[in-house]
Amino acid sequence: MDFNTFAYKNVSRNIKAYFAYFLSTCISSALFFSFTMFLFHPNKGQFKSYIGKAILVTEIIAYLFLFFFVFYSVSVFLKSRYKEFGVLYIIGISKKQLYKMIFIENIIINAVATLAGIIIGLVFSKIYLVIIERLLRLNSLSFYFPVKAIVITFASFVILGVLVSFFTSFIIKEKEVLKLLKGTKTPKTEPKTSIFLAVLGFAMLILGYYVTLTASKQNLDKIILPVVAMVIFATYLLFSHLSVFSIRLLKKNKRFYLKNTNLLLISNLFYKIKDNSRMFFLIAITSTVAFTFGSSFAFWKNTLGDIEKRYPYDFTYTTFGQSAKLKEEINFLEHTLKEENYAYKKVKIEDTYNFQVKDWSDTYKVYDKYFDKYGQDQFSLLLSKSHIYETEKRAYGTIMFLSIFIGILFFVTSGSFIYNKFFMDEEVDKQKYVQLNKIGLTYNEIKKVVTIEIGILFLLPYIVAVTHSSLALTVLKNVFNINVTGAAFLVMGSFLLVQILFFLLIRERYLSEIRASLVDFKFGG
Amino acid sequence: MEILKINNLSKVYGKKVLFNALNNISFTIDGGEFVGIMGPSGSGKTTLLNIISTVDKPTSGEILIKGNNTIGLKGEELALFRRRELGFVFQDFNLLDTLTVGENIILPLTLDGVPIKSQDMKLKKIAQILGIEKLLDKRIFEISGGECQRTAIARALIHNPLILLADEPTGNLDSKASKTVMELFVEINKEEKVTTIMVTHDPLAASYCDRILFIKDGGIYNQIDKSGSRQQFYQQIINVLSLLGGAN
Repeated sequence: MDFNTFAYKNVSRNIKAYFAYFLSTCISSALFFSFTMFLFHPNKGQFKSYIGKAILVTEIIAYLFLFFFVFYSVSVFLKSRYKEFGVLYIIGISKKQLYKMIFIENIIINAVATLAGIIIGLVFSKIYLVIIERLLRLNSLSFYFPVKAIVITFASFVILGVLVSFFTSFIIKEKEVLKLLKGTKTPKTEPKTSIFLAVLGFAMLILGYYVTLTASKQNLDKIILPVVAMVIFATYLLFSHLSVFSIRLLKKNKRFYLKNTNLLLISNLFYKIKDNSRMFFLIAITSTVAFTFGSSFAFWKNTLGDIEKRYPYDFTYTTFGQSAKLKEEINFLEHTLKEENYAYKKVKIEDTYNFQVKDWSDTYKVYDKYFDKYGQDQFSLLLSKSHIYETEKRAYGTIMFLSIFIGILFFVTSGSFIYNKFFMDEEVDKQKYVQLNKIGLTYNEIKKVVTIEIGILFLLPYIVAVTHSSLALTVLKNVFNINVTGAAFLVMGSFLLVQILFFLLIRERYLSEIRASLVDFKFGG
Repeated sequence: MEILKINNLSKVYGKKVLFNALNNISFTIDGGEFVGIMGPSGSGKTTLLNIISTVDKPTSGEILIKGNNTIGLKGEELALFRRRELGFVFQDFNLLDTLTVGENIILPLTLDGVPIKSQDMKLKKIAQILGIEKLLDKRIFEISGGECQRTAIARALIHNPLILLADEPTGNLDSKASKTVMELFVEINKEEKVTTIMVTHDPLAASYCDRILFIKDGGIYNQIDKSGSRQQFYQQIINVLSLLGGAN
């Protein structure tokens, strides 16, 4: 066995531990690939330049986000392998070799997952291109074999693996690794909280909410950045200090704490919330962004509904003084309308000519013809309802397309992260429950504790995200008079639904692992 | 021939409240000896083993292995030293469950970049000595505790270390497996002349040694050499332990 074989076996035989990471990389790379494929489409001449730019910027943001998430989940994963590293240290692995091992593992996982992702992307590419066609109102995007996109996706993810292995190398602390082997492992110290920071977090949250709710159109642009920063910071304090502080208060309430399984539940949560506070923070913030993004979908629908109100006439033509041009252009317009078989009514109000047709939905063609001939000059202005409608639809289509992309990415990566975290805690928890079962804790009680515990861990960041984004949406309503309540329910509700399914899945897995090792079940009790 | 020399070794733990885990301890171990270290919980025997194995650093004093001080070793040198000169056996085996039995055993050679042919030869030889030739392709979760420990011993010995260190090697084994493992330790010690240092609680396991160092409160309390049969030695150990008092 040479060193590379050893590293390879370490990954391939431990696929269960890598599965969530593999899956999230696979899905992320599939999304990333589809995106890139669109960006380099041979017919891309027909995109407006802002669409290309928006996609590029989104892709860069997505990449940075992925880097951050992958880095964090790999570092948590590595910490769970300290015992294994300790054994390797004792056998005499050098630091260099350990880094090399982590490097090879990461490259293997990233390369295989990305290849799988690209294949998935290719399989679904035709469907995907049709959806984009619809959303962005483009002419047919034919299928092509995207060599460039394949190369870029593959390279980006392998580079991601290289960077992540490089940075995670600094995380492994030899001292901590050896501590586990020396058998001098100290019991977990009680999480420290600062009352000051807990109160500060609470106060900042209240203040941030208050300022946001009383915001007006005039001061919104000035307060928006400080308030967002404040709420983000308050959210961090909420998870790292306020939550632990509240649980400590619950512990002091003897009547509650010492009732049934509360003792077990509360003391578990005490450590788990603190351990996961950074993860909660990340998930809460990213979900808030996803929810608020998601409501731009609603905003789009809303704007489109408003078009009849905003533009009562189907065409509006105005000039600024040049009557010679006026005549020619109006004639052309009327001529084109006739040519395209639109029956129209002409209404003249002062200097403005308004046209009304029966069905305006396709009349942007007339506008296009006018635009081709006269272009945009300083002296006249033609507004076409159909053209405006199409342009807005395309712009909001782009936003929606990008928010779906970012939303799915956030969801998949944070989901896989939670899964990983539970997978790592499982071993320790299993032992604990087996011991407790031996002294008389029944399976049903374990089930109850586990359900509440996992439920809280799952829902806590979600609840915070819902509260935050409801606030953001209230501002939209107060300041811009945009009501998105219905669609917000749709967005958050569907997230909640997926989240609950995910929760049930993880809970079942978790319980089945515990069940398998309980004495009661082995002897058919 | 002197292989390990411990000179005035001390280890102090803690920052505000100091705790002397080892208190100016000195002793020597000759090549080919099989030495047991016994003592009550908290006596410092595990700290001593950790320091000898370079996993922990002493507060003062020196450890000479074949005349070389190991305390000055750093980074790469330390890894090489552990990889080439020491072999470890733990109570909970510490085998990697992603590897097969055979792969676990040759891992130290893999890390050292030994040619594959030579790895296979050494594996065959050591597996035969430990009686695990048939298990080599099995995964760790498919074999018993006793077999795990034999695998761990094979891994500790495959690179012909200068010193074999064992920390409660029978702690997780039933009496039958313990007996087999201890007999293997003796066999390897006598046949292959491997200097062995074993920390143990178990007087029965200790009775397989040539010499026992008893440690109490970070210092050497007593030491006894085996002169007669194993049964007699066992009785002697029990006597010292009862004098030592408390839980052993």
